Amino acid sequence: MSLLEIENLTVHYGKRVAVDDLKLSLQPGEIVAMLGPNGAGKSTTLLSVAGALVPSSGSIRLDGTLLSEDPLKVRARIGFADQPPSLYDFFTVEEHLAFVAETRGAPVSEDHASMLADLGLASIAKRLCRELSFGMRQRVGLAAALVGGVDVVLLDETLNGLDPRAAVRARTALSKASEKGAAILMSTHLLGIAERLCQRILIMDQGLLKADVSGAELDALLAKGAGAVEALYLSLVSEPEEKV
Amino acid sequence: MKAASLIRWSNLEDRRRRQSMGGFAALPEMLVAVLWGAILAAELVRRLALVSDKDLVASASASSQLWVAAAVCAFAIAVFGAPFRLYWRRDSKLLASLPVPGTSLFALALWRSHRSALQVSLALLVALVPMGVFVDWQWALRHLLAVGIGFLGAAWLGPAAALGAGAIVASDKAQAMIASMGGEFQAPRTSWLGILPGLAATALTVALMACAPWIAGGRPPGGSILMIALLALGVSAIALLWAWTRAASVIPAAVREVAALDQEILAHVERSTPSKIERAAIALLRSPRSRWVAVKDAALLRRRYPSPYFVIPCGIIAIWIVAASQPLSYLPWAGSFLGAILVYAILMARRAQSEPVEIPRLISTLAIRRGEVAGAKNLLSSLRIALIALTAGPLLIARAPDPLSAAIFVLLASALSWLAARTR
Repeated sequence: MSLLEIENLTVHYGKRVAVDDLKLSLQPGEIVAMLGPNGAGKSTTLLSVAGALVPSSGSIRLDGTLLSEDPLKVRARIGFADQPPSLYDFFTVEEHLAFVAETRGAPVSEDHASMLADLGLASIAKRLCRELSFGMRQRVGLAAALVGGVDVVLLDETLNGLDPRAAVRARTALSKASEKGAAILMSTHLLGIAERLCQRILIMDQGLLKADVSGAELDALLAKGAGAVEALYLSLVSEPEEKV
Repeated sequence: MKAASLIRWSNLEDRRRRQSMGGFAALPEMLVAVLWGAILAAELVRRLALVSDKDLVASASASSQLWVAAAVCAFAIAVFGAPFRLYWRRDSKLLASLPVPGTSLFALALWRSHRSALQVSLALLVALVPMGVFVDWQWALRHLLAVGIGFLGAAWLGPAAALGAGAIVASDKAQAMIASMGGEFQAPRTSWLGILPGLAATALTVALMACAPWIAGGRPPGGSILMIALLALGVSAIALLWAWTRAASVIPAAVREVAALDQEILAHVERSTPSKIERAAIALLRSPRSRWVAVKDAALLRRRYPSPYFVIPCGIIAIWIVAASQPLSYLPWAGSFLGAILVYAILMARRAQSEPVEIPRLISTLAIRRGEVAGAKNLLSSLRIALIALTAGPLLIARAPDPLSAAIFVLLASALSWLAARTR
């Protein structure tokens, strides 16, 4: 059985359909990139899985438990980094992480220290979140999504805006979480990250899942060399003016 | 997460936030309450200590009315704060995605409401001292009834009403039912977060007004004072019990609705635009850039904070009713209502200065002068205050035993509100 199962997920904003009948499943340890133009439905999908938005129809299950039936139990196992990251400005970095971990029922542990080190946050652990730069806030948001031993990590363009060293640190931390069995679903516009880090690539457009590439198919695509993912993306995604 | 832990974390963040503001806001809350109480006490000392024995009875009665009027305003504002403690929180977006139980969130809101009610009570107790010293302690202690009823309203009834409002906002079934009853008039979905606490504040006001004659030394108008006290206790306790049993299911859904509203990802946001009166006033602004800011502010305030557009007209109607029906003894009440809705207008002006209505960092990068931004905000806040004064003031003045004093009061209250609402 899959770790996360999304069945017939549909989200309406008034008359507009943001996500249309999405079916998706994630396996433990899988790192999945969600690509698509702005307004494709990526963030809406992530918000729905995170429990921050009630879908119009469809179901979301984690290990067989329906999110709508036991939201607290499911949300305790899902970490979500939104855009821009929601941080308590007047908590220090380590206090913010401890707070989030506590809501997930996980005590402050050595994991926190190693995660702070992995993400290059150890030196700013005692600083208030309001004093942090954009990139630092992104990294704290990522750390908050990872703390507490979550099974599913949802990232909404969290790797955007990181400097190269910070991006490497973030990739390492995500790989580590994946090795421990966490499934990672990230929306991004950075095709390079998708190619290098992810074992599966989804392409969404106008609320629809246009492509789901993984395994041998993805290997074959990547073997074509640089620009293959970009070419696939451009072939599937319509021009903005065509949508209106 | 347990309620005690959530309260501990919340207190830590709250304390640091206030300290960062500096000045008056950085002082301990209870000290601020004592200072407010001391200001009211100073006015009561002036009224009671400087009169002859012959005038003491009349002055004591007037002082009691002033004290009760202050209690009504302060407790009503504390009741109106309940939805802010539950839903319109800075962290609602984060809390919407974290597994925090609804009962813990409600316990936090209750804790904050009790603290707020305690602050008001403390200020009023400080202000009671001159009445005991200069008149009679036994008489002064009658005022404790108002403190008790006000405390129940602010600490129990307010959060329960806010939770009930959240249940309506989050329930599609309730919305469909209201829509079928409302006909062409459709109140914005989130306006219930202001309407129900507004009704709770009205009920509290009525209860305090009913007790006022007994507190001042007379007899209650019909029924016994014990009945009023028991009714206040019973209604508040039942409302709180009901709210506690519903908190687990209602609050997470309502917090999610409000958080989604802030992210502008929710279809329930009414795409309101400035009203005709606002447009006419905005047209008076010389700078086109100021006009853009004013149109933006007027539209966003209506979308994000729809309840004042319902509550303020209700307050004005209440003033008309009170002024028209009770020309003499109840005029201080009309004055208190006017003060309360002017405070609401000041709060709206403050909201126009911060997110999500204004984004200071964004506006500072745009080709618009600070004076033009301030001009737009000041125009709208001045318009609101002028409309309140012009609609509520004339009847209040006309029915007053001393129209000149009433006119001075209306002008002074409007001018002070205008100063407090100004953006610099």
